[in-house]
Amino acid sequence: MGQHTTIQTLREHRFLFSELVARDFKKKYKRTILGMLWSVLSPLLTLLVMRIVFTQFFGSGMEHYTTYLFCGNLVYSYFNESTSQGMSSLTSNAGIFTKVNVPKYLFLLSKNVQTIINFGITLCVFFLFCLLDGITFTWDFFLLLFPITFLMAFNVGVGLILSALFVFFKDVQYLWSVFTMLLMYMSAIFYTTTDYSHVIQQLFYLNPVYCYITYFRQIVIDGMVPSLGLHALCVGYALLALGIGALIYKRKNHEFLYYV
Amino acid sequence: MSAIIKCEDVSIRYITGDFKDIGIKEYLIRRLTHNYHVTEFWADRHVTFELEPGDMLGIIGSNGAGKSTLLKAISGIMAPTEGWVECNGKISALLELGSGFDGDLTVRENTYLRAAMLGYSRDFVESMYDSIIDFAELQDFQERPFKQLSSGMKSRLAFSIASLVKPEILILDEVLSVGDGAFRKKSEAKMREIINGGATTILVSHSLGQVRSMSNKILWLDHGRQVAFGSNVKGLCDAYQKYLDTKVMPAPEDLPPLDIDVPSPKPAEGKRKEKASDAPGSEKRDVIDLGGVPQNTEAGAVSAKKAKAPFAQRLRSMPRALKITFIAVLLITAVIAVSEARLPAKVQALPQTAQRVLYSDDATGVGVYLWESKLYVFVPREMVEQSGGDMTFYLGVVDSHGYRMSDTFDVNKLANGRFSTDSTEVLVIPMGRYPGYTHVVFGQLADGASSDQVNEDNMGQLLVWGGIYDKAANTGRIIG
Repeated sequence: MGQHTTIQTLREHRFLFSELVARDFKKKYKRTILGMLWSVLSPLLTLLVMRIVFTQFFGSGMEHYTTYLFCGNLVYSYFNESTSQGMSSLTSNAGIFTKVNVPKYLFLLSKNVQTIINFGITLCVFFLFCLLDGITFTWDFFLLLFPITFLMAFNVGVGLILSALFVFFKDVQYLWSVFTMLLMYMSAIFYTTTDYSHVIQQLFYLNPVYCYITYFRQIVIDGMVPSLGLHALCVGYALLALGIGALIYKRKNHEFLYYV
Repeated sequence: MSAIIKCEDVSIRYITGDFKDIGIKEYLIRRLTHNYHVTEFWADRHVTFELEPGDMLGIIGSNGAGKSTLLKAISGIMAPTEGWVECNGKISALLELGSGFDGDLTVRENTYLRAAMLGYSRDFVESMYDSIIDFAELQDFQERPFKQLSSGMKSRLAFSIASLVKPEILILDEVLSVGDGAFRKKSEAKMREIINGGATTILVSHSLGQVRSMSNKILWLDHGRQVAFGSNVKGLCDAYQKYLDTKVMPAPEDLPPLDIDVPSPKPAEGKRKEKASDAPGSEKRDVIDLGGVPQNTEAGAVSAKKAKAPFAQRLRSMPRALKITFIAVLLITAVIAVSEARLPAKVQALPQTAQRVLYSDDATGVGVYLWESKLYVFVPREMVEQSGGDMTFYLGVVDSHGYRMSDTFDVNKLANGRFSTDSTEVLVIPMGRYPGYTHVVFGQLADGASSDQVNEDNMGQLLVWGGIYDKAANTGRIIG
């Protein structure tokens, strides 16, 4: 009987979840096709700007530079979009969770569905660019499912932490936008780390976004399976973020409503 | 008959104070200057009551008596600080009408969203949708944005959604005073229908007449304290009216008898739990929050068992998509592990199997091999150790434009793309990075030499050992 009700409740929540996703979609894109197109175009335009700036003005002569750039941009913009939008998921739904008892993480997940779809479309464009850039596709490309899965988990985890923090401190928003900018420069999106000393190269791995980017680059550009250590880092960062986020949500579950 | 809602000695501490809407800086400053004030107060204190299926409880009390907070605890939005709440049924709560709706969505979309929040299934909502709209009398407004509705219309819709479906427990906070006179009559009739259908209802209303005519039990709260609970609706309402008129709280002995015909459901003193954390009710709430099962609650024992379900059972109850993802990730990891494990053997065999041998020195054991567009550099560990851990491999690439770029690789320190076999360090350089190359210059960079200094004339001096590989001719030349 217990089994039955669990499945039943999950089904009920699936309905709520799909309704939340539908609501977020309608609200964000205001029912326009162009709205959706924009969210895919914007990372592409960023890519274009970076490509022009760093090949024409700063003259990076690296081979496959466009793909190198796109790998970084793809991962970073997904991370940035997912976390920045997820931050407000609790506060903007305060009217709901202070009146109805629903699992609060659903709001974040629903926001994430959007960014995942955007990411998926950008990923398709990415593969198109790879083709144009003369990248040979190998079976190893299926391994990209690995960093993608854990990047999603990592983004959800960071989103959980941020959305909870945002309830308590509203200025997290501004700090986060500064932090993500710092993170962008620290993620070796448009430069290579080979010029740095060994110690500094290792320090880059403290940045989770860099790990996911590096995984992408090693598969796509270098055509090699990354080391087990990099796999472990990808999993570790995701589990760490998810764990902390889930813990905060569990601990503070009944405290959020005092702050909104 | 067993209780459908049970509140045992429920106390809820509410906090207010400076913490709202202050930033981190402000928070730290106030903390440091001891100017940070948080006030805690008991919104509800020692509230104990029990309802049976079909009961209609009216909660009375002036503003700030803790009525809404108590309802939040019953619907699971708040957790009691002390004591515990047990609900054995599907709750449909209506706290503050109009909230939880989204102004930008249409009436139809909002109906689905709200129904989803209340925990109904899509099929059920689809089958009930027309009657919900009919009851709310909003047939002509279905595609209108919600914000364009009048407040009366909004309340009507909220009431229709919560009541037309068949809840086991219905919680109404100042709901029945909505709409015009005709709708109020209709909603009261609907309420009676639900109650007669066996639903347990909790009603908060400032209209004493409404409470009087509809309830069969009364809970009187005053500043969070429970003044009285009983089925003597008439007596208690009279006493409350008298209190409102005179502002004198009657002494407990002056209260009318709490119950009329049924024996008083006195709280069982012996069963009181001191701490919320070890009470079965609160433990159950935790389980609910974890599993995200807000409305469908079961007896504490069942839930407690569920929390300790074996791993296999929990795996089985995961959504299918999650299961597939989980298995896929496990499979991928396994594939990786296998391919990683196999690589050193493949690498070890390279001197025999490589497609191109670029450089090989049997005396020192150094070798450079090309295999599947990767460059493998074999250096005996002895040699690396003798170099004091400071050995740099140089790679210069020439393409059809004559452009030459160079990379250096620290043989001893590369974290990725390096394998160690029993006696050899193997450096792996993916040549995919340098498409269209025609010549490769490679070798061990001499101590103190910089990769920028290497050119065709001085390669012999700057490289300890090395060679030039001509891709088109597939020939190599050894330098030094």
